[in-house]
Amino acid sequence: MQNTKEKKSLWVLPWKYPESFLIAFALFLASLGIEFITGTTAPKISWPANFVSIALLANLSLLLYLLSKKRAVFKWFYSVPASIAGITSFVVPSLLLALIPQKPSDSLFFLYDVTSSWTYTIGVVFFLIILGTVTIKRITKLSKRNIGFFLNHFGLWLCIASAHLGAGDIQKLNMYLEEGKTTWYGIENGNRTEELNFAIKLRDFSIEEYPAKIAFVENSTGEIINQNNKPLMIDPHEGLQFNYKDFDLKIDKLLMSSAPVMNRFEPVLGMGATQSLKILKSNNEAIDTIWISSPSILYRQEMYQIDSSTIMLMTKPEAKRFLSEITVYEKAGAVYDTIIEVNKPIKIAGWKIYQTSYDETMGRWSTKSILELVKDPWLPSVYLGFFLLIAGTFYLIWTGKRKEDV
Amino acid sequence: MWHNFEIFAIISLATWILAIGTSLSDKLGKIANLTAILGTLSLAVFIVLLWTNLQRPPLRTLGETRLWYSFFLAISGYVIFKRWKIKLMLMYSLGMAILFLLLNYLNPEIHSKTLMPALQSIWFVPHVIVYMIAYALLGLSALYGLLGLYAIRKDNLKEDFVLKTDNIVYIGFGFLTLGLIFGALWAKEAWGHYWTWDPKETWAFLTWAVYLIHIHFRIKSNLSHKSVFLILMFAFVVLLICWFGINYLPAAQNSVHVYSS
Repeated sequence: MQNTKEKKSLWVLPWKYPESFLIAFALFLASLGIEFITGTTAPKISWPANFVSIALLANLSLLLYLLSKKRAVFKWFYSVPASIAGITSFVVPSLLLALIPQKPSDSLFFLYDVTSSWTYTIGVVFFLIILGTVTIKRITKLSKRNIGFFLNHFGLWLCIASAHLGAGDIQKLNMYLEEGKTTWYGIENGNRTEELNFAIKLRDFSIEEYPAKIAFVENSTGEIINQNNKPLMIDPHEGLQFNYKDFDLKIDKLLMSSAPVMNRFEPVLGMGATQSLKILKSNNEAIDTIWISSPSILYRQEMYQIDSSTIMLMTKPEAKRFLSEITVYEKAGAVYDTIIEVNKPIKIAGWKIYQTSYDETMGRWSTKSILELVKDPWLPSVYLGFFLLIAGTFYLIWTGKRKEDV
Repeated sequence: MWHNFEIFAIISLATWILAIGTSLSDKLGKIANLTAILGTLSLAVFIVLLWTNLQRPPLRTLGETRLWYSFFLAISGYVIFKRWKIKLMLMYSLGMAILFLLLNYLNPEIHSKTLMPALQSIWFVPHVIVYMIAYALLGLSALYGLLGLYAIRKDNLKEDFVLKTDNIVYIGFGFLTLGLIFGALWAKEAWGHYWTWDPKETWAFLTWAVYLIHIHFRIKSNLSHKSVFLILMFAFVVLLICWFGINYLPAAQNSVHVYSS
């Protein structure tokens, strides 16, 4: 690693970093040219065009490798400078993505919709060609060291090729369920309905809530008071003691489902019931009993003015978990009950189904449930890439860098 | 069974603290080895007992999963320490393992009580832990960069030092890759897609790519050692942006990864 820089004219073989970056830069300019001349975003291809493209990419890499045996110029494709130029052409659009807020717009200016741009697509394709050629070059010489290399490089190639080119085959539908009703279609992009080969009946939608936080709010602005740079909020539980300025406060009761009765709250289970807290406030000898409550679709939020500038209140409860109890009727004949919950998707007839939302205006009294159905036929291929990469990573951690590589 | 936890926890805590203390000394290295293993064994015995006692794998509650985190942290830290002689790795992972055990011992809730449903996942801690290990190692590599620059100035840079730095980058990069993939697998379960170019994902990719470029640069380039060390320090800056800098970036305001209060 001594400085043995020899001055080499540009475009004299073997091509090194200057040529590599010039090629990457030329591709970048070309992509901008296509962008402005065609006035279109890069096409999103779907089956079978994407499969054909992946096969073509793989074959192109193979061809480049074979050509490299005859012509020295093709050796460039598996050289380290080419790899770095390849990674860079993938990274530069990603950097734009990272710095500029993306918004879907009709404007063709690619900066705001990088992932649909020609620049991004051409960058990724260039990267894949280089990565593919390098991988093929290495697997032709099987050795222990090359197994790790193969796992990492082919794993990455597989992930990126199938994730990018497979994206056109991803299908997403929303399914809006209502308690007691059976639905057999999904809605794509908010308008187009698609009949499914199964139906779902929502038997019950339920939400489990966290105890709503206690917050201290500035009377004049309505904003939550900050203390030590954090909003002054407390997770309540029975028996909890805390203080605010000169007041000692103690939570005497936490009712998760209650309704106002006279000047207190009582446990009830009915529609619109709200969370409430009985708090004992003491200052010197005097003890006050305070009731505060969360806002609900039925009852006014009970707040408490603790001093001239501060109000103590309970915030809107947050959902701890929400789930739909459903009955599935498959066209093939199967009928079964199941539960679908956030983070616990289920599979029905080739669709992976996620619990995403509900009627938020009704909160836990929602009788509607919103599901998302996703079909991603390329997922197994992406996951295979992931697992090859994981295996390659363990290899990397174990072997590290050899001296002779330096 | 949990009422016996104290005994096992105290054995693990005491032996691990001893391991951290003695690992610093060359003479006491053997004690560090022995105590690191003993502490891990003690925890393993408790997990086995708990498993038989519950008649199910102890993976259901937060407290139960924390046992596994401690256990795997201790093992992975020890393996990397043995393989690469990176003492800091042993200290760091045992330190984290101790923290998880203490959390169980003192029993507070580790997460904010109001964790949105999508975040209540078995992937949460593995994803975060591999990232923390990666960050620790890559932070260490930046520190080595600084030490390397100092050594160049004093004209006593050893080739071995450069190789050691490279190895730390390799291991750190390995963990970074795992973090990225675990995050993708989690996102698929929670949101239905493994990659959406969410700002945090984008920066995680950029960080990963910068280290990837660095690793490839190191294979064949006539860059001076000085440039190599400077690149490592620069790469860590990108990592820091990814870690908490994105909180301040306009592109990231709607990300689930922005650690808001």
